[in-house]
Amino acid sequence: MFLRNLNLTNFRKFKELSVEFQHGLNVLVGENDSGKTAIIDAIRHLLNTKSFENVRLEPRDFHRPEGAQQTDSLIIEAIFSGFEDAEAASFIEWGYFDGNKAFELRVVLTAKLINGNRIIRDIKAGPKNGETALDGNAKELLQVTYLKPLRDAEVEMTPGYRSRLAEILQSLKDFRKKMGEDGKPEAHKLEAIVATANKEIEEYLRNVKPDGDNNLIDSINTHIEAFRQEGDTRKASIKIADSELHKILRTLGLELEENSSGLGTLNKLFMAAELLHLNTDPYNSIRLCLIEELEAHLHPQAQLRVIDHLKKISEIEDGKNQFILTTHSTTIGASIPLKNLIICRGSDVFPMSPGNTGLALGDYKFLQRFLDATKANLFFARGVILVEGDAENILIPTIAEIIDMPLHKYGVSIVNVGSTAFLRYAKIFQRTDEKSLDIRVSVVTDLDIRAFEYYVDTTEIQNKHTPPTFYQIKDDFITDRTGEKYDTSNLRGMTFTNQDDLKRTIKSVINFYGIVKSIEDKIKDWSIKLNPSNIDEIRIEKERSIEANITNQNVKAFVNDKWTLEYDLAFDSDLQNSFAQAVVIAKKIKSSELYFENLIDAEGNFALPPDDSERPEDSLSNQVEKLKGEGSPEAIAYNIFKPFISNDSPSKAVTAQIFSELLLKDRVKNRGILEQSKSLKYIVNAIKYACNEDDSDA
Amino acid sequence: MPKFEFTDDEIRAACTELGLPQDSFDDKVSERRKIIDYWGNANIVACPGSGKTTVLLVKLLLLSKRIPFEDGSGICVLTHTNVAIEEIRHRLGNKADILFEHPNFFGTIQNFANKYLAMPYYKGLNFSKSIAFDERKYISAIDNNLKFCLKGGNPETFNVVKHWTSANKVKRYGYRLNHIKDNEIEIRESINGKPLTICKLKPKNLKKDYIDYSAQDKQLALQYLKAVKFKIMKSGIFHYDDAYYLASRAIETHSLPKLLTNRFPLIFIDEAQDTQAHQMQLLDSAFKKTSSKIFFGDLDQAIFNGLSGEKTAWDAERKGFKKLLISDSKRFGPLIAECINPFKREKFEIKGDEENSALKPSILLYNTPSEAVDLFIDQIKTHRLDIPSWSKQAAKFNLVGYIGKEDASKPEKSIISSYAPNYSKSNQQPKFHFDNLVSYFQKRPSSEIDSKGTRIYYELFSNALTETLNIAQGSNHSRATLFSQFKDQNPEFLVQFRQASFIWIKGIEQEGLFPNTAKLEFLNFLSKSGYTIPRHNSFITDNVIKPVDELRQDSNIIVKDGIEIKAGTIHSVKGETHMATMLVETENHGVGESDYFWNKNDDGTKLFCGNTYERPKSYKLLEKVMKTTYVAMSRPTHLLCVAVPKAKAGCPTCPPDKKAKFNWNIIES
Repeated sequence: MFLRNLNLTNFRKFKELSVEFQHGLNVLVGENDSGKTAIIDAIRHLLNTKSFENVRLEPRDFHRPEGAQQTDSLIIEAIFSGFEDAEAASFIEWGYFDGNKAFELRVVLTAKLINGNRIIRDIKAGPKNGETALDGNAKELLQVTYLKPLRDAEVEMTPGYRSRLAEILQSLKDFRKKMGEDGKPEAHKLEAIVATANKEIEEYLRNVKPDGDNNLIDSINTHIEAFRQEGDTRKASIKIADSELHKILRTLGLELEENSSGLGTLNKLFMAAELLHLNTDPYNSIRLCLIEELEAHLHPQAQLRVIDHLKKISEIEDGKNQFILTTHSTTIGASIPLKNLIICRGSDVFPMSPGNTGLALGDYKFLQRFLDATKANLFFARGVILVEGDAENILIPTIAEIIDMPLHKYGVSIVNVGSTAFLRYAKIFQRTDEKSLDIRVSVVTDLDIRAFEYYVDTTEIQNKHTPPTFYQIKDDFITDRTGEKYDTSNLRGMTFTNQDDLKRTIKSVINFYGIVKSIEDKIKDWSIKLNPSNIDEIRIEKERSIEANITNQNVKAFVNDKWTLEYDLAFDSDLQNSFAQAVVIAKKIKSSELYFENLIDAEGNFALPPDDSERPEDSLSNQVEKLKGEGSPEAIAYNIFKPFISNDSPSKAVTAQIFSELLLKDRVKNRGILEQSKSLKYIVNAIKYACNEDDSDA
Repeated sequence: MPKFEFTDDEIRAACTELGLPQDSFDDKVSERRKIIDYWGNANIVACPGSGKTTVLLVKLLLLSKRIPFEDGSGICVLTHTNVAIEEIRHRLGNKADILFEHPNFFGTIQNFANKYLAMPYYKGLNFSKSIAFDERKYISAIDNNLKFCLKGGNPETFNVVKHWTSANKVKRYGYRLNHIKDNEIEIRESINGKPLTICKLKPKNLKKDYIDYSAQDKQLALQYLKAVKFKIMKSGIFHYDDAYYLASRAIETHSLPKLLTNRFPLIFIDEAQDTQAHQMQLLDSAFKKTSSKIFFGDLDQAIFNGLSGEKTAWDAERKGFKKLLISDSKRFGPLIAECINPFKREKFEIKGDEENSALKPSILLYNTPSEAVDLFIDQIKTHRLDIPSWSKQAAKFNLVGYIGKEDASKPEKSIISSYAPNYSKSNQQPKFHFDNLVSYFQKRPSSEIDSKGTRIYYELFSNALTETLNIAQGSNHSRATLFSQFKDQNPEFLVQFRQASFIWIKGIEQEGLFPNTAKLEFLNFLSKSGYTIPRHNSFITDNVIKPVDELRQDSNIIVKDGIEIKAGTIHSVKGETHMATMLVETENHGVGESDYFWNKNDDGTKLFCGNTYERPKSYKLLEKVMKTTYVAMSRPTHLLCVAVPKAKAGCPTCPPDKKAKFNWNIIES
């Protein structure tokens, strides 16, 4: 049996909340005040804990809607599934069968707030509207193990009246009183041991005679006699413990080897002791363990080891041990498989397991390595910018700074996915559970329609490239194999960058599946080659196609106008000069890294390399002009960009770095340029969107 | 008298919570608002469809916001059936759960008498620990105790009693103790019946030598019957009615009324017209005058199920109680109101809802009973009533009649099944007790399992266990006592029983486990646990599965031309709202409705013709039929039909000028 579903109504910050849990490990990750504790506390209120902490509902547990009166009733509802027969037997009076004929148990706590201070609560179980009171035995079977945050492990693990260790031990079968054959309670083995020890100690102490005559106890007793009232005949004795089991247990302490346990060690001991509960408690009881703020008192390495161990425990016996932990540590968050994570944000929670996100089950596998490395960034981000290359990764923070939206201030993180194939990662932010994750995601990607000059360039590129094929509908109607005609006149002239889009569009207009085969025949007739006259149209179509594939819910695609970021910069009359400078410098660095030294002035700031008066033809401006060459704007842009497709291409990252520095050198002027620039407008928009500073509503 | 004041805003909020228009009760001088504002002793006299339950719900919901009261007292809401409680609970949803919790009481008068009076009193007497209010057990206890003479009893007196009780079956099981005062106890024929008298059975051909028992014999026989009753009570078996006897003793010997009055300063009684004399007596004696009692009811609907001669004990004119009316019906329009007003016995007339565009009611004249259903379906189709959706709990279309039970001796008389051939009358609740073991292991209606869960089966199996062990050990445990005994002495057995039960439940629900197979597994389980089960007891050996009664519901539905019509007795549809209702004629004591309302010479009884009622010389049965007719006819919101045999109704011969002024449409087959 495990807790499958928790539904809250008017509990603390939640007006309505539904959380799905899975067997095994569940980790709630979120910032402070994201509702993690409310979820844990709701479970405690409903099910109670084995350690009998005082859990009482208080007036402030009732939800207060913004700007409205506090509500006066709250509901906490839990649904348990995955029962084994023997477990189900304990809940026959309250269970029912779900839609798949599997046994299910629903437990509901309702509470009412009266006059703002009195609270009446009631726990029942049963199908909706068929609830009856849950009896004490059944309630006990549902008690959870709970590890509270900031534990005072020192008090609880060391001997004494409040010893938690004693409580834990007492609840184990081996420490229960057994009845002997005579019907009287049998002496426990520990009791016998302590009794013997006491006797030996007494024996020994009798021979300790500090003043030579009287032994220790007698000496004490002489004093006591003088102190005590008439008629009081009690005498002092010295022993380890009263030989009653529960008193013995209280004197036990849990230690690691020598008595040098710091708080961290004690915490680990504490957890270990609590985990005893999970497997040993009453037969058929739920094995649910709540751990709040695992990171309390444990340093990061220890956290990882503990998590790793918990993960293992949660996986044995098909996840019979269920853990629900909370953390706001990104270290822990990052070490947990995505499927075990539940992200708490705003007033909702988002399980990241397959089925809840836009990622397909296969994607989880395909992207796993990548997800593991980057997911930490998304737990607490307010916005995310996904980029597919190093250049964007370097340039975007710079642009953000120039337009006065520093990403760190907005809590926006950049994730460099490195390849367009990984852009599907964005789907992790899309929900299939009708919830809406309020993380805005900008996907920055290249349009990637190469300039026509590329295909006619015979100078440096050895292999001549043929222009790519695209598709354009050229007919007013198409005919299927039976000769039936379908009107396509509305579509005539439309361009497509790939066959899938073409087919999809025709199908959506004709609404007849059987036509697909006929289209195959047509496709040959409809293919067109890229040429200077259709390139603009094809670019517009490609942009539409990329946006259609990516933009969904809070995820939005941002695409440049032409080819790549670099090409578009080279084309941009306002920025091409600076960019050409960056390319020239990057090329020099490519041939010698020592060139870096030329870029730093006396104060250690970035500066353009000084011109060498002896070799004016080598001056930066000269080289830039040389790089640009002459001709149409397209020709110049292609010239500037060409180094990147040559065999000896400069590093895009370095180029971006230099270009960033150039932009920063004159922020005020460049801010104006950036806001207007054709080449970087899409990046500016992507930043604004992720920072929630655009005009659109997500 | 407790005082409450609620603001307009609070009342509006309550309306919103109940899904009523917010301004429903804004008018401070409207009949309903006056009732909402009044918290003293009151009789709320309502008409059918007046929404009195809604008014009651508003009052309860308002109170729930003030509960619990500071002095720890609560309110007491009493009804007559568990169905009525469920209905109120259902309509309140979980908006006012607090009403159902301590210190409030919400239940039937019977539950109240048991819980606060009878049980505590009986427990104080220290007779038997197991207590069962159970009619079946009571009947078999009577039978067992009348087989042999009581220990120390006079054999001659026993013979008198034996003869008399075997000749008077009704009184044999029906006689009750009535506590007068102190130790004065009389025996009555029934709970509110005459004092019991015993006389010798008269032979059919009465001869002169018939001699009745002597007065002394009679007195002794009564004493003997009293002793039987006490013996059964001491063993912990009670008839429901006995609760009132115990309650009366409890009230006399303890200061309970004072305590109950402090605990419940406010008492609501719904369907007050169903209150019988002994119940009213209990309400009067259990609470002192300082508790406010608010009765909600409709005197015209005071019809009692199967208890001839039973009268309502609710007196709407009672001194010290304010009478408040709800005289307009939200259910139907003036057309129906005009037709049924002549049947109304209470002084005030119902006003129909002017905005309700109900149809003109019809009298359907048929030659053979089966035609009546066709005519009704025609009407439904003509008025296109099959199209709109229907959200009420009761069925949309209904056929109702007074007599549901078939009398084997008179197959020719007309009863509901003459119209609906498969009709069989039986109680509404699915059964939890059967007279053989196998029936406990049959699959239950899925609606029941969906709404209540696996608990249903566990209760059944627990009942089966209790019955079986009682037979095996000759004991008389109730389920509760048996299980608490197990809990103390053999908790392991209970754990195993649960485990086994779950396997049977899964088998029955999911794998089609046969009841007989499950029964064998059950018996195996018991013998493995060390119980010896008698082999020849019919409870255990019988293999015929008795129906849970779900089938009955289907057989009460007539499906024709895609229209579903539910057939039921007038008693069973009390309080319901229908879209269309057809009252069919049934015969009781050889006469049907048409005999009362058409064939009489006396114009004062021709109520269908629009005449006003004038009480004739013999009126007792007539007024009873008027009442049931009225209840039946006040159900529909849209279409009211009354089906009468053509030969019996006066309509075909009615002069045309008179017919023109008629409130009813006449439709002939």
